[in-house]
Amino acid sequence: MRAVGSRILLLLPVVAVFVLFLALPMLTVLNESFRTFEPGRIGSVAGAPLTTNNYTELIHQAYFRYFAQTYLLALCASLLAIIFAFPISYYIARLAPPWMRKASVSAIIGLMFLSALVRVYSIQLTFGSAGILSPIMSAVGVNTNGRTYIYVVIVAGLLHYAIPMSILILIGAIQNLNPRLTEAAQSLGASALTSHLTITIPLCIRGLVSAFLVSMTLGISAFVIPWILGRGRVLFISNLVYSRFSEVANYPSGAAISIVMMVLSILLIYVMSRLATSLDRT
Amino acid sequence: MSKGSRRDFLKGAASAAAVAAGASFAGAVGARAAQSIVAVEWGGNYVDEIKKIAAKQSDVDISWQLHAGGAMAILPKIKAAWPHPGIDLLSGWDPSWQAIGREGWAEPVTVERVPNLADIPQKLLVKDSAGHVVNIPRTIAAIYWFYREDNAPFAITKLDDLLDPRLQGKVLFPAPSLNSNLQMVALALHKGGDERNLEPAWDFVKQLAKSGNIGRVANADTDVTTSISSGETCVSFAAGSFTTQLARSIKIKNLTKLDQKTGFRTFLYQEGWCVLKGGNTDAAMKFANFAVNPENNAAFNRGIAGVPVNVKAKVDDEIKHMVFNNEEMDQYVYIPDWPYLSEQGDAWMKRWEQEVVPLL
Repeated sequence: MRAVGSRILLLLPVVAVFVLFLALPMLTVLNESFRTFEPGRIGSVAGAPLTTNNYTELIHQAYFRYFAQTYLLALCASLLAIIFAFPISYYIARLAPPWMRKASVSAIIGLMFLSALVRVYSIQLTFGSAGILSPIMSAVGVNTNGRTYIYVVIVAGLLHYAIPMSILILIGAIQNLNPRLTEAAQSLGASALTSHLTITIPLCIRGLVSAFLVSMTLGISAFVIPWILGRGRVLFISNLVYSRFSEVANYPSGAAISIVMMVLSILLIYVMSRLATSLDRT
Repeated sequence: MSKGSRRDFLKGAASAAAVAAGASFAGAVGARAAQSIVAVEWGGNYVDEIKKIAAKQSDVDISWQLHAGGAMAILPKIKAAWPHPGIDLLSGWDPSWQAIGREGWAEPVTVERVPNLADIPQKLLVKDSAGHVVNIPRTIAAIYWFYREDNAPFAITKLDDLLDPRLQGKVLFPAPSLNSNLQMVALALHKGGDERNLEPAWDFVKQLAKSGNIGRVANADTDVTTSISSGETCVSFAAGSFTTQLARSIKIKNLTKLDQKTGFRTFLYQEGWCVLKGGNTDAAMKFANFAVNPENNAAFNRGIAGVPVNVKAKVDDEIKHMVFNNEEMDQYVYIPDWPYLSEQGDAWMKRWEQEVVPLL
């Protein structure tokens, strides 16, 4: 009984921090999302009448498109990040000599410290329509002014964050894997590919799902990357939220978009967790 | 438990006396020191120039903060902190004064508190619903179309040229949240509408979006600088202070003082300060008054490429394209209905997101 009491006591500071800095602001946002906005004012006025208009106005083809665009590009970046990150992580965790392992992990962590603006502008100056590679792109028939090209450049920007983060997550998952299981499979006649697909990948599924979810989170909430690389023509949900809050001061509408985004993300996490549980063989 | 010696006691007493004397001296100095205020300013030349003005005086000690984005972006932060915004002097322009006036955040400005206001045209003063002046103007600025001559495929002479296929991806079009959507008011005026009838402008801008000529949509003033200077785009609509600064390094053609048939209209607005309630209002007014005296107002505007508001201040040659006499005012300039514009931002932005962005 005393142990339970101490545990509750130990949990109290964390619960207090979450209530104060997460639950309370989120409740404020939820309340704001149901308030009527008066054009020209800053946010909703005190005692503004309740409404569901801020949600119903999102039932518009254009907003479906913004949500789909955001989630689809983040999904592409997350899948690509895992495809690129897994072999690198496997090499670092299993095959690289100790000095290279240390150097690689240090380099990847160091990469995370590089400013987002530097990364984004470096991509812009290289692959933008006035970038260094622009003449080559035009020579091979790539339309650097096209929407598809902008999508590709945004995914490249998202990968700047998603790949290093996925590598770091997957290194841990691969290190926890018992190599003797693969050796046993191969000694019983399984090929390297079969043992990789049937032993290594399924046993790393939790790490893969974690890396995917973290990459998705970074992608969905990306702000600067679509803001600059999207050239104002491809907007993410976070750009819409910023515009509502900071540029037109329509807090209720910005709050409604934020709530919808949060609900969709929670659903995504739920689905991915269920998927991971069903595939998990550990 | 240790007992202190007499020597230790004396040493301690001497230290305490020294600390007390120091504190007392600091207090005396503090009493004579300048009053402190927090002022919010735009970055770049704006903050550099105003700091030079501030360095000329010692009555008011200023802690500078920078706008993160347009002038409207700070208003939600003020609302979140109200009635203790932590800002005494706020720089802004016509649309922000309308919003601040509606919220009732401005300390009333009077000639008694800002004597140099007497030398500033009364037409520039914005009043709230109670009839109190909310702003201290410092700059008259123009906003207009311009293009980069060395990057444009041909000489742009009329607004309809924006649809020319040779400008594929070369138009930098500001989003409606930027410039209070004056770019679309210009399109509307050209096509027979105005700010209250923007339909012709929506039609034009949809046509422009479908044409593929819009290479980038500017969401902030920095987009104008980076996109035009990098050569990504060549034609846009921006404030004169930006184009004049760009013209210091690249060849810019300002499309001002052109026949109305071309569609290139110029809009005038004023920038300045607002003193927010609840802070050190006297010190904020004192500094604002100092900064708009003829000499300082001229120096500041020379630096930011703006037109001084003080009628006794000297106008620099570099910004002559933004100075209009009475006849030119009638011919080339359009003064929009600012209170109306300041209420349309949300509706226009939503329409932009729903009807134009999908076409880009």
